[in-house]
Amino acid sequence: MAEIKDFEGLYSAWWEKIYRLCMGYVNEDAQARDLAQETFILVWENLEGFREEANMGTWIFRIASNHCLRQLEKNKKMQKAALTLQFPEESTPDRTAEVEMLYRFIAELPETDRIIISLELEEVKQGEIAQILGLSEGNVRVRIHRIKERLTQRFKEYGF
Amino acid sequence: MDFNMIWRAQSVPGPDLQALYSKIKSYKAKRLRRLLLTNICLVVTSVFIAAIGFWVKPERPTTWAGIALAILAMAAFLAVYNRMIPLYRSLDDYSDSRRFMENLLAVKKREAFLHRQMMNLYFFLLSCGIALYMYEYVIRMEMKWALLTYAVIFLWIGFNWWVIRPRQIRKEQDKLNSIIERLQEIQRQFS
Repeated sequence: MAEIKDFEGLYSAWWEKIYRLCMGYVNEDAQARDLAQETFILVWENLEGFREEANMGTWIFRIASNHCLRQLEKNKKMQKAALTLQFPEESTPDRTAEVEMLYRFIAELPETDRIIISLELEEVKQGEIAQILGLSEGNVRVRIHRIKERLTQRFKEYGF
Repeated sequence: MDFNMIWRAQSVPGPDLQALYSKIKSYKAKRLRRLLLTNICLVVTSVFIAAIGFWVKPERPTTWAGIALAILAMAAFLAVYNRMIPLYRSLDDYSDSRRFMENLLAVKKREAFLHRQMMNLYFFLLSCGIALYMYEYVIRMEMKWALLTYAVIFLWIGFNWWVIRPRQIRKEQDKLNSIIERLQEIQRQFS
């Protein structure tokens, strides 16, 4: 019973972060919700392993990142769909143009860069991002710098 | 440009515990259903073949050998198929993504190998089984009918071996290879 309560607390506390990370990866609301829900199914299944982990953030973000990357097994067209240049018709109603643009430009990035920038925007420390992905901290720092430059460039092209 | 501000400004749909719990339930059921269905199908077929042996009461050992080989084909298929599932259990969902992708790639390659071996073994055993099983009934026929029957049997075996088997293997291998290719693409992003 205590375990269920722990899980529900975890779910409420981390849902938004995980949803945004998944949204950064797929740029599609319904798919991001599914991905985030499935991440929590994996969290549920791995709850025992979690108790031994020192850092909850690293642990849960690893599960989410790995699950996002695994989507290549399911949906070949996903990446291409995310790159569409029109705004999706069924976007979240109160999502601003800037947010839509940001997601669209993130969707243009390679898969690992999408995860890196989403984690950076979640204010996860660069050292932790390195641990989540298995990269060196230096590599993460350089990549974040390049990604932000690219995003800035893309916003400028659209008059922002 | 303050990306963090834009990121934070977005609205996020609220968590839905009910939906999550029902998804957990259907997720487990779906996984189990596929495993059970394949096992049940092949076990029922094996029982059916064994029942034929029981009712028809063949006299020659070749017929019994044929039945045994057909059942062995089903058993070999199931043994390899059931070995593929633990491959995925060996993946640590919470290892770092670079290692996770390396492991996933290894699993996919192993799956591709096992699938190819499994299909070859399955078709080989089943073909030998049919050829042996028919022997007892064919030798009771006139020579021309016996030759015709075995010609049809070998034609059927050849069709299975050279047309159906490669097609089945190619279908699955194409799917796996495309996943392996995309996994390798992502892996390059880690270097």
